[in-house]
Amino acid sequence: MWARGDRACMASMRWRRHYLMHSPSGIYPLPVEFWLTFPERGVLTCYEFGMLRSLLLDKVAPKQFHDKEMEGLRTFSPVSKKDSLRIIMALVAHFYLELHQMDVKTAFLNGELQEEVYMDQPFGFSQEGSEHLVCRLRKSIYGRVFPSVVPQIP
Amino acid sequence: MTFGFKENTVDQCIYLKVSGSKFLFLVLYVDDILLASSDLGLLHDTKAFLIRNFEMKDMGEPHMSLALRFTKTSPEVSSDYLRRPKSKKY
Repeated sequence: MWARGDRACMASMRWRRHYLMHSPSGIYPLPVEFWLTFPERGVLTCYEFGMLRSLLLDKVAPKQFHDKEMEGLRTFSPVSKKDSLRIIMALVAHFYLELHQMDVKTAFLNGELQEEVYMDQPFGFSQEGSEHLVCRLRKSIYGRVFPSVVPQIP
Repeated sequence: MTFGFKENTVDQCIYLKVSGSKFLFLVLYVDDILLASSDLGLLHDTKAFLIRNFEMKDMGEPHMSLALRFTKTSPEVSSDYLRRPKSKKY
């Protein structure tokens, strides 16, 4: 049933012009399920289940990136768990803490990417006959978690 | 993450900053951030830091966030649960 939603998501991705193209030489596409931190830049560069959220790097995934900086990378979950939120809300209520909310500006998420970012085709959704191509991301991808196990789609 | 924040070992999107007897929790959910602090001054300092370093908007006290509705009640009534025990909204 949920496959329909994923296909709609992929259609939306195509509509958002995440082009399929040959990987330029020296550029290695990022795996789909990935989150990255660059400690020396203090910037989060985040991919997770095909979601690219905040990206401030000039060029992502050149060769040396894979060779050298892989140690600096670590994968982690991008969202706080609901339980954690509940615990903190309980603390807020119990200790009368001050609670404020902040939003990262949406222009940041919706804007066209200036950087060259390439991503592998999402697992289970590679286009037939062009599995060797990669996605060039035009905009940030977010809003939906791709399932890690994709069953056969009729 | 700097500015004295320490990442939670279990949930990597929860950060805690302790300064003296004051503390501040930062709950990160994609582009939504909730800040819970025991001290208003610390909260304002942190918000100023975040606004300086990232493009962010201060939403003040939350009303709707992460598909949750936030309601502040007086300390005498601990929550809406007590007032409306049969409400289907919860």
